[in-house]
Amino acid sequence: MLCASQVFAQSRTVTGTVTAKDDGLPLPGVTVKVAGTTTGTQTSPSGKFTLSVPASAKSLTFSFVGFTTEIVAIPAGGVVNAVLVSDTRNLSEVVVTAGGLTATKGSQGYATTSIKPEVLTQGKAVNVASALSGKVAGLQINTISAGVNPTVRIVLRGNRSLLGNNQALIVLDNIIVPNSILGNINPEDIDDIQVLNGAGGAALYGSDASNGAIIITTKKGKKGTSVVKASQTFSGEHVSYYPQLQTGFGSGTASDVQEYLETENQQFGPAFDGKTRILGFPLVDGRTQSVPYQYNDSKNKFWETGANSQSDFSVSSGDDNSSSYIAGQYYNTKGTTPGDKYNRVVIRANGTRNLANKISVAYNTSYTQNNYDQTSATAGLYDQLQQTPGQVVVTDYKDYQNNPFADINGYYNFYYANPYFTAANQRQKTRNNYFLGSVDLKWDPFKFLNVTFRNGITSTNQVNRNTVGKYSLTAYTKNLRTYGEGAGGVKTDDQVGSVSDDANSTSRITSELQVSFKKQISDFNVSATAGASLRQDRADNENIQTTGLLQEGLYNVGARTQPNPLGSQNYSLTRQQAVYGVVNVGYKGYLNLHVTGRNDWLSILPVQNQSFFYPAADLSFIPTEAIDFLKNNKVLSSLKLRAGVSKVGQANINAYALVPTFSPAAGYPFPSGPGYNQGNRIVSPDLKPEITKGYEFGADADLYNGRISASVTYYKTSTTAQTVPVNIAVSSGFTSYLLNTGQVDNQGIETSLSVVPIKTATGWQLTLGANFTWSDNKVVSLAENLPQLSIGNGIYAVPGLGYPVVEGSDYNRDPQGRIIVDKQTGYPSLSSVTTNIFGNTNATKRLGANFELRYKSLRLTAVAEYRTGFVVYSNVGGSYDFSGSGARTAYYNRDRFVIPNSSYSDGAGGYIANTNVVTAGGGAEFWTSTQYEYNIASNYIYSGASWRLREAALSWDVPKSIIGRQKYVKGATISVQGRNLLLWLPKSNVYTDPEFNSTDSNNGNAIGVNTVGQTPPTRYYGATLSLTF
Amino acid sequence: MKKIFNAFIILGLVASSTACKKYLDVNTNPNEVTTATPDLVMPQALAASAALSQTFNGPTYGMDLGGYVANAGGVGGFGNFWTFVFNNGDANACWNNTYDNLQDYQYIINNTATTGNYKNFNAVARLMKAIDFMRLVDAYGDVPYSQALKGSAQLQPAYDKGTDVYKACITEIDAIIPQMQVPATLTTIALSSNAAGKIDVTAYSGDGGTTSPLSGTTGKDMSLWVKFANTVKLKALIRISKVADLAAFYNTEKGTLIKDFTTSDVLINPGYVQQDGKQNPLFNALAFDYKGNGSSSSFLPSTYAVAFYDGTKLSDPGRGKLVYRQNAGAYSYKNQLGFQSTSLVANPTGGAWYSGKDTGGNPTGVAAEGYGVMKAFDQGQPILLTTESYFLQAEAALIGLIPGDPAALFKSGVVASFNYLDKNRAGVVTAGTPSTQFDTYLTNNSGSYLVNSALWASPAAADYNRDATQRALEAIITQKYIALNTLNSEEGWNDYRRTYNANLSIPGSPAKPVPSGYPFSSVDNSTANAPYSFAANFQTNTSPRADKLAGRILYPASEYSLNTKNVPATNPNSTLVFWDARPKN
Repeated sequence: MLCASQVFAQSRTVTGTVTAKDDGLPLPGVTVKVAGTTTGTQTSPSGKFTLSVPASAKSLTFSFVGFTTEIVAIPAGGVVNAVLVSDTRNLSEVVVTAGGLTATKGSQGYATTSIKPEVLTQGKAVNVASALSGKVAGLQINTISAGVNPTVRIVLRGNRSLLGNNQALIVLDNIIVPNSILGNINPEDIDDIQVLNGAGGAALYGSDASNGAIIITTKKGKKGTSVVKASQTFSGEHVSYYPQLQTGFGSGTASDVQEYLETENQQFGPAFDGKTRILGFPLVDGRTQSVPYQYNDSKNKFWETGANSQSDFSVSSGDDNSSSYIAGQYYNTKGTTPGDKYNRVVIRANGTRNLANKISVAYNTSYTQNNYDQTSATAGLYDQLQQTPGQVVVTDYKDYQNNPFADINGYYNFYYANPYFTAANQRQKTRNNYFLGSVDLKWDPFKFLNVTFRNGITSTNQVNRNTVGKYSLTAYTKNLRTYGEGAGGVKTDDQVGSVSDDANSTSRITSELQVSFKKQISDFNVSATAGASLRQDRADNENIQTTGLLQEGLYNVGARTQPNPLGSQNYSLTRQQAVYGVVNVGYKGYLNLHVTGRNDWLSILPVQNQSFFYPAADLSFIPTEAIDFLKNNKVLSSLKLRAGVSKVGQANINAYALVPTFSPAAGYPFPSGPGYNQGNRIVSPDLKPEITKGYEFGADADLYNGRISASVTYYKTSTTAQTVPVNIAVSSGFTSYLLNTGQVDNQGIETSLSVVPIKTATGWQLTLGANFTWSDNKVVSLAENLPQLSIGNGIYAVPGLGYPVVEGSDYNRDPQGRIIVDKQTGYPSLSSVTTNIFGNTNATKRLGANFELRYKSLRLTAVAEYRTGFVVYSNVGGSYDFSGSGARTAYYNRDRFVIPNSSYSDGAGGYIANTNVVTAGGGAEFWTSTQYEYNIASNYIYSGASWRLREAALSWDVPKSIIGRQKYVKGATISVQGRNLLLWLPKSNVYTDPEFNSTDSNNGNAIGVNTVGQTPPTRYYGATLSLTF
Repeated sequence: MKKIFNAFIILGLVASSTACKKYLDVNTNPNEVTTATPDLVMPQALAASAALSQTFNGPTYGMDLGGYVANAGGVGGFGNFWTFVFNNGDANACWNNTYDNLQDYQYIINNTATTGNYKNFNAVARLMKAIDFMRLVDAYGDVPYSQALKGSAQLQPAYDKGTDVYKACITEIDAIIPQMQVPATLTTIALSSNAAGKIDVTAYSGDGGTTSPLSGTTGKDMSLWVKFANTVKLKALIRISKVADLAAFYNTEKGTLIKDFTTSDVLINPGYVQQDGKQNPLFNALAFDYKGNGSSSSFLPSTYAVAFYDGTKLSDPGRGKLVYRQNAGAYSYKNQLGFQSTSLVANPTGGAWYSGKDTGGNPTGVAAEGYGVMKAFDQGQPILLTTESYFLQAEAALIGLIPGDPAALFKSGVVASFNYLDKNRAGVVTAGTPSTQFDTYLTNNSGSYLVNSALWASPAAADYNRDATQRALEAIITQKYIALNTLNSEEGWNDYRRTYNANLSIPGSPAKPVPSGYPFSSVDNSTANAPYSFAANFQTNTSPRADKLAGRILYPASEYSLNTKNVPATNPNSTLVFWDARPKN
């Protein structure tokens, strides 16, 4: 007793709980030691520990495989709660790789990046892809529009297919899913994301893997604990950048003498003078409206403040034989465009169960429903808004139902409708349902053998309704066309209304069998896997529509004025089967060879080309474990060198594309019967997949025990046999010929660096990270007689240049590149060449910067991104110039001016710099002229460079002392966060976010053009309360 | 390891077995037709020919080049059609849509034989192909013919000379006619309709009357198609009649010409309805769209064309009301080409050519029982009207190609013009009595040899054109010009080029010796002379030729980029179609 009491006197009991930072769940089995001693214990299944420590003990060390070791000071109260952060750098960490197989990081001979949940969800982005922006070297995320649920394009290592899909393959719980899933799963449910940058690591996924892969694993319940979590986020959304407009001049169209026109949208009128002027034509009852002739900011106020609410809950539990994870999310948003709304519900149930006979089963299921209610006329209303003269208070016309000056008859403008009315009259309502499910059945008959059978289903159902409201103009309105300049269609044409209903469904069923063998043979660690998979995709799209509605407000194809509705149906079924094998040989843990081979059979290819084989191999070497003097080196903690080669095929053709088709044409079908037209495309009878061959090498290093970590990769790929429809002479009877031709080469460097300059036992930790990507590609060749390939939107592939490039019209220029002007009029002239190349439209240099500062339970994070090395074409710019609303049109105050960087002919073949010949006019005659300014593409090309603060967040885990001793709430976290907070653009960009893009994410390789279809970029800011029960 | 590889091999064997081949055999298109019988393609090809007819007639080809149309008030664009300075982007539809149409006829030809059950399909496709190619030559001169329409076998077809294409087409017609005349058998596939619906949308392969041995099996009698083919050949022979290179060929063909020409309007009507893309192409383009909104308001009738109705050149209130919408009884919807003042009257909603029932008021209903040019959305599309047939015969009789009285055929042509315009949408003559209307017309213009054939041989002192034959030709061409106004306007442009005669004038400006063709313009393009000249007053063409009109339209840019080695060098002013009678400069 004495002895014991002495011990008691000299020591004290310390208790506490250890949790994981990522999910806040307790961590069992964590080793807890008194720092500098061997005295220690392990945490219980509920993450708790009790340890008797000497009085002299100052701090405890917490260590656990896969997590960074933490040292925490023992406070006077004797309660030490530790939060462990997972260690994504440790080479012994086991990660998920292609095919659902696992590997240690050290054995991966190709570039990968791990993203942990904490990093993913810190900005509370709703779309998983948005949440990855700036965080992964080599990964380019473009949010291609604003709107209630922005579409995202996700590309690894640049574009390599001219016309095929270049977006990364998305794998969710070992099942390949459509990219749209990224916007329709709950980021809170994600346990881990592995980004496989190149085809090498992903080759096992088959012909979709040439674009790299993003492997997402969702959460499972943890053994021995039951945790209930709930959180609520509120955020606001606000336009962050407006196009730059002129504020000096109001309505008018006249050249030379500026003259006010009360019904005009063009803004080439007199300078604002503040006097009251009549706006628009009198109403039928004779009433008129007047406004002060001065600029107001109503065009910017048109965009509303968005509001988002996100509610989450999850329940996770587990015991020795089973686990479950059940979660739900409800997200609701009101957009910045008046009337636009969106909501989303996600429900997930995951579970595992160990059965007898060494069999275990795991399942993942998820159901998502989202609902859009938005205008289908975003481009129309945005154009109408920008066509609004500065003196018009556009926000006064919101009530188009009761305000006679706001309705379609009374609106002041002879050519454009009220944007509020347009937004309300043209609607699109979409409901998407996603069901995802997978079941993994595993059998481990022997220690060295594992058999896995996996079934997955991805089912999507969409119903979509587009409506245009019916209305009739009054006779008075229709007669307005006889006044003055004459009114446009908006004042003469009745709207008969339309309704179009789509029902689209897709289902993908996958089935996979894997047999894995693993054995240590002396110094060799050998594993091999053989697998076979089947995949079936079915899609069915149906549409029924009518133009000509019977009644206002009744949208049903049954209630129409036309004798028949129009309809269409498209059904497709494609199948793929594959066998693959992987062999992995490790030698003494520091040298690893990984070889994969896969043979695909695709139903969409010609029978003789249906089967194709592609291999990949990579090698990793860890000198820090192989070479004696590097072992336990105090500076270089670990170093991995890696290299790999790969070949992957991608079949870039649609189902049934091999056989030319006949379709109804020339108005057919008529009531008199059918009539069919031969299609205009010839298809090569020998179409093959596009083949991407490539190699990469790189290194990953940790210094000073992970305080500095760095990674660098160089890659080069070459994609040949591009599937391209080549235009052919119409006189051949056809217009295009689909064949394999052309080659695109890509190369690039991906680097990342993470430094922890401050890490103290008192809880301070500062982490600074950066990733830099240089990516370059080049069209090596196209087909014979194909000098360039149009991708659409003025975007081209041109041999010898990067892909893609933007082309367009330009002025006639002298040999020095100066614009040639007429010596008398000062006017430039439009060159007849329409294929001037202005540059590539894909960012070639990207820098992501990450910042994290921790102090105990406080965490401040920020992600910034810089992109440069590309140009963007603003298709809106022309509209701004034509309407006279753009800032450019007032640079010279509507006076005559000398065109910068211009020259005129000296009459003898030379050119004299123009310093004094001013344009004959500086108003409408210049800015709306297709010969001088308007729609001359070179005027609307701008640098795509941008710096932006992607996200910033501050979170605080409320200490137990504040939560108190009540039984219910175990933990609470409060956070504030913002996304897209700041955007810095070069002076040449007076338009919008250069990331925005008018083509959609699906197969939209024609990047680099933005239009009025993209509303102004927005920022989000919000706050979250998370509770753990 | 060995086990693994065994497993791998077994899996491989399984995958490559025939069972798996079946698994992959799912690439049969369930959505679209991949093989089509000729009777499925023929109706569409004929309806596409109707659309093509409007492409050539429309404002940016025939109506403009023929002088029928001008820009409307306050309208920008179409600049090249005001200045006649064409580039490779203008009127491309004439080229592209014709070859698209030809591809379908070629498909029918490739899948049928000159004998056997599909012989009539074969003949009709070859006739329509000949029509397409000759119209293409009329617009472009040399075109790919012998190497064309071969798909991947010839991606860059060589060009054939326009004369060779014409010869080949006329020879084809020679071969088709006897093929059509071969009596049908009971197994011959009917052209009129099958279980799927109507095929011969020109409604020309009728029953053949009760005396026919095939009575009761409609769609096998080709007699009307034969008349149509004869008329097409007549038109082609007239076009080459003055071409020295083809003199021998012309004489041979003259001998084989069967003098039995169409006496009914050749129209195509697949059953147009008031729906998107299913309206009559002419009505849709210039009257109302399917929603009932006014179609293109960018054009107005030319002052030059209106002057044939309003009394300036001729007085024709009868047809004037059937062709043009009037404003309180006046022809106020008109403009001179290129005149761009914003004070100009706008094109009325519904089109200046939509005369409707009430020629004085505003026609509103799209289904109004119209007459004239724009009858209704479901009217047939003119391919070759009876009136044209008679004017072709009149000219042929005049030049000795066929026997007959040119004056009588001339009168039949004018009466047939009234007859077509008097017809309502159902084809019933209801707006007037053509013969009475002709008499009134003759009375109103009894002093003009352009109407009164009795004056052909007796020129008045004021007439510049004093040669009896030339006066007759001028009258025939002028009346054909009036009759085909907005119906087959490209014939106006063709006849201008073909009958160009530097020593003739037109009534109204007798003192001016003008380098123009028959009803056509003087070079005086002043606003004051607008009724007598269809040259734009806004004229920037640098053609050295006195008429200042375009030589031709140009090959589309796609030919220069995709058929580079074959496309001929072309000067827009001096590279003329082979039968063009104008000087090159």
